[in-house]
Amino acid sequence: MKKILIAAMCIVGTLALHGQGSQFNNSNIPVADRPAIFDVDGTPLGTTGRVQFWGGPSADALEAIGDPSNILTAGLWNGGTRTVDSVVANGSTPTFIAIEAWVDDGAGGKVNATTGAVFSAVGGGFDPGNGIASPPATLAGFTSFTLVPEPSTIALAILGAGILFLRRRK
Amino acid sequence: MRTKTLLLTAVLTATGIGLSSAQIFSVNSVGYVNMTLEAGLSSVSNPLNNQAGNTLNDLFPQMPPDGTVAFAWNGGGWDPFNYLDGLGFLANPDVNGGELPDIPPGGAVFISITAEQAVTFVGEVTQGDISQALPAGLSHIGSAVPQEITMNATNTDPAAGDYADGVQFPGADGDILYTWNGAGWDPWNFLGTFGYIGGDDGITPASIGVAQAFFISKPEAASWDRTFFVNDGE
Repeated sequence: MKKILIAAMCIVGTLALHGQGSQFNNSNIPVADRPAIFDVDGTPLGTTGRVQFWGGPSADALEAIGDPSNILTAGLWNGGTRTVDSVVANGSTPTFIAIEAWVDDGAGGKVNATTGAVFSAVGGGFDPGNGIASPPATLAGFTSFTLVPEPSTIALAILGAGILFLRRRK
Repeated sequence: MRTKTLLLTAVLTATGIGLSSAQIFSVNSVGYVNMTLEAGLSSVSNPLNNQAGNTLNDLFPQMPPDGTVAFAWNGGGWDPFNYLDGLGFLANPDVNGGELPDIPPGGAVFISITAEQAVTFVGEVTQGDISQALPAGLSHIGSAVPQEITMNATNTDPAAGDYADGVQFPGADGDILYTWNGAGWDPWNFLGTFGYIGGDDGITPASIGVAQAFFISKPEAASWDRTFFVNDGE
């Protein structure tokens, strides 16, 4: 029994060492030219903005990872480390990533939720064999995007314009 | 990373302050360490006790605005701390309860910058009994005092006598020390009577510069205990 336990612990330890997911610095602050996220009116997203990190082994297999992060200032967020377990960190395999952003409606709901372009990056966490993992990778392929008004918002705007038009005709 | 100047000579002495019948005598050594961080990654340790504090923003108040990130080793990986001009280094919401951690003397960070940056550490030299925990596994550390160290036997091997030079680093079989070469980590294996050796010839002892951090991998936990006084010249 003792041998079985030791063997099991060794296997778990081996998996832990070699099966680490790809790690990313979940922020656009260190990205070159600091690409911001903009609100629907074209201004940088404010502190009511939220950001969700999505990652996976392919563009059609993304999953939300970790909790949403708050916008810190002017379309920039600082969200700690995100580990994509479905992509083993080996220093070469790319991870596909998308950033979703929205405005919090004050009750935890999403307003104008929009997902930016999917990009790929090689994650950190790679251990070349000495136990010293590489640092979480910067979201180097992230590009700026603007929140898109939701259809209901557009519909309301059209409805309002229609009512105004009808009233003017009367 | 280039260390350019080490100044340890500014010794402030406060003497003869009488309280009741007791006399308090203290000698504090303050100084500064200038270094230049090259673009890319640098492994840096804090060599002085900054009286204003030892957070990243106390130690590195001015950094290149674009792309600067400091990474702190958490025992199994790196926690990133992003730098935003005007705000300095930002706390990581996942680490230390969302507060910037202290980097005490001998503490270390891995800094990524996109342009060369001059850095000046200012503070008091830690003196007296100094102890740095070295847990089993990997630790990212540096010397708690501004001191160049050659990791030869006299500084690391308990069997070599009195641990000359006052370094007294506790070398042990199975230890591996790693130094950053700008692109990767160079290993230095511990062998009693030699110290931590490596390099092209395999027998060169590791050399640790002032404010340079290194990794130490230890099979068993240990403690780097020593006594250091500036006036001893150690």
